[in-house]
Amino acid sequence: MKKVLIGILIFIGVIILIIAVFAGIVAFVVSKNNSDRGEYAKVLAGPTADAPKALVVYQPSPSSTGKKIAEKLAAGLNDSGYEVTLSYPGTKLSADVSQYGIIAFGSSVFAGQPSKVLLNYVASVEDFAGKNLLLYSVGSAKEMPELDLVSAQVKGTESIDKYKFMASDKDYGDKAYELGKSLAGK
Amino acid sequence: MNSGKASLENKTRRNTPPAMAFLKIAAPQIKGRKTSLPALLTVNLLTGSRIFLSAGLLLCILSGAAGRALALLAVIYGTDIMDGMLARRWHAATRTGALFDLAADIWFVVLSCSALVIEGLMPFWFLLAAAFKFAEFAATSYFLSGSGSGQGQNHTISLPEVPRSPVFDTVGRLSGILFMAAPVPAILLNRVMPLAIASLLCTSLAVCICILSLVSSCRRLYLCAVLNRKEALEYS
Repeated sequence: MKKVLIGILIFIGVIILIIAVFAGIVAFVVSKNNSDRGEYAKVLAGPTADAPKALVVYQPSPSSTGKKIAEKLAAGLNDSGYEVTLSYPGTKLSADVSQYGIIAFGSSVFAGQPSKVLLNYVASVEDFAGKNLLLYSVGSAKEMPELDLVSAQVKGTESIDKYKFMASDKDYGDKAYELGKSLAGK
Repeated sequence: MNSGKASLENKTRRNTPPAMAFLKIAAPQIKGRKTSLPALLTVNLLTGSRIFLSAGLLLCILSGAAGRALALLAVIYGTDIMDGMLARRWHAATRTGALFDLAADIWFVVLSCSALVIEGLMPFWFLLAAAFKFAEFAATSYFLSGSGSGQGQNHTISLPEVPRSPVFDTVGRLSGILFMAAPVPAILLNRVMPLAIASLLCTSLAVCICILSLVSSCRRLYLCAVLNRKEALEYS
């Protein structure tokens, strides 16, 4: 009987250990998604000096998907005649977005939660009135409650486009590019 | 794997009745033979390197670097083959080494499966199945390897008298190898095939591995139940 009990304890112990390792990995990924990555700005020059301006703010994730989507989206806008600035959200990014006609915010989603850094940044912007606003997320579920959380922080406009990229979708690059094109055509 | 050695396996087969013939005990301590420290260190460093390589693999899969992930997988499989081979050749096989090798393998499977699940390349239940198999393996190994350790001299069913060690069975070993190999097709299929076909093939592969794993678990648990009943009868 003692052996059976020890066997059961070993079984439970190993299961707990493996779950703890998995939880640790998930925690690592989520913490990366919620950490402030500091200052970053990449500018894609427009065709003319007075080209309209667009801003793409995205939270990079451990996966390269977030970066690729943001860059393809920016390329779509840039090819449509916009000067595009790519940035990470954070305390170092200016909350003054008055110079941009189009603004896109993107983040990876874990457990239905977008990046907290992105949420804080969106909340710090005082007025989005008159802006063409896009919120997008990258995740594995089709539903997008995380974008409702982000849109709840938006002040000054009700007109918000939302888009969900599926992490398992290999065509996300093309879709992001087309999304950028269609956003510029609005 | 750096486990069951030929002489011990033969001994296991000789002493084991047909019902338990599929079991192999990994307790490769060879008495009376001196092992050089550099050989022991080299073998265990090879095994230990797998722990760090697995962490690197996790980051590669999560960052979508398929090429680097496949290269790391090749190195990991290489170390797994090499450490066992060198341990046998240099007579550096120890019980602790076998346990360390097993732990490194389980660590690798858990990390790679977690990364595949997070990236959506494998279903979540695949990780749960791996966790169940390893937990069952540890528990039944404890139970089975202790059954012949001198507690009952008149056992109708008995295993050789060895310290508590991992007890392997052929189907379980095969499912373990497939759990270890799963990242390769999962990464390749998702790169080469259309999404729908890749998902279908990956899920089919996961189902096959889980069925094998379940068959092994059922056999082992049945054997534990038989042994437990025998012991209870002998005691009474």
